[in-house]
Amino acid sequence: MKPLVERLEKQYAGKVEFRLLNVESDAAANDLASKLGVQYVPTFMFVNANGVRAGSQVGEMTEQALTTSLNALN
Amino acid sequence: MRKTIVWIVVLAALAAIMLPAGCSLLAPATSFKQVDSQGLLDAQAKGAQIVDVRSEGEYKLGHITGSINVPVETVQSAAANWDRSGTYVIYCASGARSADSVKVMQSMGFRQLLELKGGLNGWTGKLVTEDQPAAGVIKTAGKPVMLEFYTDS
Repeated sequence: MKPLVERLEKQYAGKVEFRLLNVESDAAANDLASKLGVQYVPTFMFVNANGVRAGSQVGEMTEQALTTSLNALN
Repeated sequence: MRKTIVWIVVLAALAAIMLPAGCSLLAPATSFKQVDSQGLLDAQAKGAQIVDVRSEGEYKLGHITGSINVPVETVQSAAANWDRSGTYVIYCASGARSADSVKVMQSMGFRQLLELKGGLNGWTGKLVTEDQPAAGVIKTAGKPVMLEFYTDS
């Protein structure tokens, strides 16, 4: 999953900000996950420019599913 | 030639008898029972201890009520003083770490071991979180954001 996400991060540079949050090693990430009700990893959350959650997906995502969700944000 | 044929027939017959029974000539059988969500609840009602072998971070994000957190890499040391005759239901996220944990516990002499089939992916009940989900508004810098919550394990 990591290589795909890193590739898409470059592809969407300037269009979508990627925040990759390790809930195991990062206490702030863990706190945010709890506040947002994240129960499983990986969880992907898509937020529009106004800070409103546009969607989320629990579990691994295919490239097609990721790009569809990312494109929907713009 | 005839002796060879006889031996082939004998070996084939032995294999036909042993393989369906799950026998292995190389290692002892290490089967364990898998349960679904209801099976876990039934076992818990009868006194089984539920053991979550995911990481502490994953556990905090949500776990089965009444479970204890024993990350897979600590199972051997944590279980050293547990009652070998007790019943334990082991689970993780998808079933990989719980299978490893069950094998470790079997080698330690535990015999009443159950595994949640498919891990939390197959769990249909509720999960307990340390903090209830809040209506989070994520601050952005004027452009959309994709967050990925993950662990290394």
